[in-house]
Amino acid sequence: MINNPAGKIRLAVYTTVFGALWGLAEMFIGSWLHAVNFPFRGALLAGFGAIILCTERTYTPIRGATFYTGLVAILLKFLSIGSVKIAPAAGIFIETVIAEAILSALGTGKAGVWLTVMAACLEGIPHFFVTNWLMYGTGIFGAYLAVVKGMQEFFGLPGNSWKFIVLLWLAGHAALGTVYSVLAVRTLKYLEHRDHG
Amino acid sequence: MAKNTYLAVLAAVFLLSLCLPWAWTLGGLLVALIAFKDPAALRKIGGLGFWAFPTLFVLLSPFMAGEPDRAVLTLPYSMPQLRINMSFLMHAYCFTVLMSYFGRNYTLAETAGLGEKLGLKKTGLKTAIALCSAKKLRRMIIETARTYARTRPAKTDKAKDLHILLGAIIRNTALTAEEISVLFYIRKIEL
Repeated sequence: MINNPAGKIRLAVYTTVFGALWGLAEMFIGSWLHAVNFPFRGALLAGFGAIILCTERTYTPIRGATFYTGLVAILLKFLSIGSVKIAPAAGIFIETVIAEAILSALGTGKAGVWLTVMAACLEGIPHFFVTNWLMYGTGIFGAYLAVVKGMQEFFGLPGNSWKFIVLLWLAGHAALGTVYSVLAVRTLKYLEHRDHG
Repeated sequence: MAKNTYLAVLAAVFLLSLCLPWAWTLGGLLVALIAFKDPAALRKIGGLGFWAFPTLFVLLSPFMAGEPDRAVLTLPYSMPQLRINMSFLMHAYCFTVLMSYFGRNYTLAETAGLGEKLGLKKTGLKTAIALCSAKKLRRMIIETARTYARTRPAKTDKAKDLHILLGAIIRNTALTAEEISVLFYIRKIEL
């Protein structure tokens, strides 16, 4: 596909237009979720992004296509409202790299799509650590732990209560990942049915 | 000093502040460097909503963490912890100022130019396609979502058929991409 001029044009245009679609979703849904402080908003947006990346890859099944789609979304994210955009842009970048790796290895079959979407939704966890480190510096995690420990003592909770909170946090991301994975597989099936009868 | 070199110096100071223990010194240096080039960037640091959580964390966490050395509102309070926390706030300020400096001093065309220098071919043209198609896609999404909502008044139907809405949006996006591809091919525009 990439060896002829038409293929090259198609690859460049499809990745750019689908990147614009993701960028739009980030701009409007992302800004709204951020404004209302919606819980798990990172995972909610990541799920949509992953579905867009997976479906785009079915149109241009070439290594690197997913990566370029993500770069366009980052570009549009920088144009959206709000003052600090580096954190969501970093999130899109990490998600894009993960999706590119999984789709290159497994393709756009059920397993590849399922894993890509799930990994994208779970990306919020390393993303939290990276953005907090960038924003507040190295000692922030020690301060978080000290506050959690202080709160446990204050409320008379057992020493490992924080593990329960972390587990809830992980479970929330995983649950969203499952819902989005089902949605992604159903969407691809619907598209296949529409495009190929 | 050239603009890109200046940005590289600022980024290097910021990265050093992440790795080295001299957060105040390096943060101060970063702020001074930005103040020298673009003082207005020091004020464009986001709204109250953005700073509310970090400020509350910085002020309230010494009630819970650290070794208490005095009483505030009759509750034990740790001043050493507050000093540590202030460095987080300083770091966050440096970070937002750096982002503000970049946003104020680099136009979209310059950012695209940086992309081309980094090896991303025809970034300018691709940026233009992205912006033009984004306008078209926005109208398409609104229209598709309206039709979807009109034909499925019940909330359960809306949730059940969400894959159809997504599929329609993606299919329309692909059609837009195909139209642009054909146009570029006919006009012999290389990408």
